[in-house]
Amino acid sequence: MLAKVLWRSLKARRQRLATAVMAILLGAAMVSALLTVTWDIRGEMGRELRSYGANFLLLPRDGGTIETEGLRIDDPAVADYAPYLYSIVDIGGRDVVLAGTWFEGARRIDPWWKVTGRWAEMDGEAMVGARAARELGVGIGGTLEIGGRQFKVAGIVETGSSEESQVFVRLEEAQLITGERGASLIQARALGDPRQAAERLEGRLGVRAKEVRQISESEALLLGKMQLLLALVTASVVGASTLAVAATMLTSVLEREREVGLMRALGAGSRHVAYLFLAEASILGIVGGLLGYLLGLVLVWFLGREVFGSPLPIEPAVLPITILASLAVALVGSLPPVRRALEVDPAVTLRGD
Amino acid sequence: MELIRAENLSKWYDERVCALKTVNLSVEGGEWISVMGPSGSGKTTLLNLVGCLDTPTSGTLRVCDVDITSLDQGGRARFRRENIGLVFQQFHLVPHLTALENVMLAQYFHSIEDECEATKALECVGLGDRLHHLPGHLSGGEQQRVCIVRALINDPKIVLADEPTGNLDRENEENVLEIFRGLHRLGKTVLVVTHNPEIGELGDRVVEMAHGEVVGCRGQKLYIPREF
Ligand SMILES: Nc1ncnc2c1ncn2[C@@H]1O[C@H](COP(=O)(O)OP(=O)(O)OP(=O)(O)O)[C@@H](O)[C@H]1O
Ligand SMILES: [Mg+2]
Repeated sequence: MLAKVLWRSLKARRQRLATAVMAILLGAAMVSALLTVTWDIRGEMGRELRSYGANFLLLPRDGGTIETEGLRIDDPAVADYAPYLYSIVDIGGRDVVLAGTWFEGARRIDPWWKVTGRWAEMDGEAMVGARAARELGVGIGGTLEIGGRQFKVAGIVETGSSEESQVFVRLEEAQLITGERGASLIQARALGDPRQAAERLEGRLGVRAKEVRQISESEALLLGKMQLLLALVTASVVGASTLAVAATMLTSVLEREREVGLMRALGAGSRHVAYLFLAEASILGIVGGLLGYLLGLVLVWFLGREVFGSPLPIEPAVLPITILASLAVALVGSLPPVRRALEVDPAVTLRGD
Repeated sequence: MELIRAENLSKWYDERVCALKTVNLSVEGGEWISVMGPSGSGKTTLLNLVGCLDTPTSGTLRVCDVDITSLDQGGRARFRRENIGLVFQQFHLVPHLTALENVMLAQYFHSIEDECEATKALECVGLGDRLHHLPGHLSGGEQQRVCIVRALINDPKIVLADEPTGNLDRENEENVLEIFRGLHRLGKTVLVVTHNPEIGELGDRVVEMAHGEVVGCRGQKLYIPREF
């Protein structure tokens, strides 16, 4: 019966309720857009942190590898560098990416790697990416057999990226295991603009340089500022939509005073009356939240294109959060009107004509 | 059995308007009481007090052996849905609910809806083919019959009707009165406010009111408290 009464009265007053839904919708759109952007900013920040690492790569010009025998880059602009040799090896029956590198260089380029345990230093030591460690079932101090050699796990690496499924050993040992010479690439970090240093090295080493796109600090700052701005706008839009819901629901209660008085006269308890209006508010909240989420997606798409220059990833968790927030807005906005409805005096409203 | 007993019942609005002063009244179960009197004499006020829609300013009122003055808002709502059926001059149907749904609404507040029972009750008053019409698409007489069915659907002990035929033509008036006669035969206690002396005469007793007081009582004797 409650559902029937709700449905009929929603239908009868759809125009007025559309206003409330609109108010909730706008708030919900802002909330969902803010959340999506915020979610993405974490990713952006991670990428931004990487910019403290390598800012260009040196790759072999025509497939093959880069010679590392006696490799020394003494370009004044290049602060750090580390060669990497990648290959797929069998460890305990699984295919794993083995990365051979010079740990001293790697450590200077990627000081932000989260290493549990410690960085590997010597022959016979390895670092294992967190995901690889889980799959291989090894921990710190454990041993791995790679290509007939024993390695002791010195540390577990977390980077939030592909490194997590790799196993790191010293470059020379990787070369022995795989029979390869040289390195697949060299990661390098130049001070200032990497382009000139990269050009010089291209000629000297006979390699191809590739810039690693980084997000500059100013861009990161802009993201932070925009997040704050969005939060402020969202807070005011949510506040405004709560007020709008309150106003609409109050009008709705005033319009229906006679109906509420009648229900009271028929013996409806406070519970019945409150349920009716709160259920109505919940429906408005959920519908407004859903539509707002959709509008938020459009907003996010627009922001991604116009502001970030690339589409922002859609985070599924934003949907339930948006709907819950809209529900909260609708219910909080309905509290004053519901109180008003509970005060309706049947004797007064049923009098007169 | 005495079903309604009012002693020195008074009702003031805003501490200035006296709608009822020292009304004494006793109604037996199964009686049909006609309440008559000029406009503003307090008839609706009396019905509202008995129907537990309003609280008296002073005096005592026992209905169905319950001291109404001691009930809180929730208690009054519960009392109304258990014991009272209300019939209004303006029908007061919920405009966006069908005839059947209006009746079922009263069932919902009381306990549980029973569509079958509600349908049967509406068929009994000749509305079998109007179940799914909205009040706006029903004639006044039909609306009043829906209102009466709604008042009776939870089997109340007391039916309170405030000018139930005030907005109806002769024919519909007769239909409605026929329903009340049936109720009376079934032993329901009925209080009907009316301006029409012919309708007044249908009651076992006519309670005459003026200026907030009971000024006369034809039929059986007026209840007089002991101290008088
Ligand atoms: N809510 C109220 N506030 C102030 N005065 C009121 C209120 N309700 C009723 N009154 C006054 O109380 C008196 C009795 O009103 P009541 O409605 O009981 O009369 P009535 O006999 O039913 O009249 P009618 O035949 O016109 O329906 C009237 O003078 C009316 O103006
Ligand atoms: Mg009246």
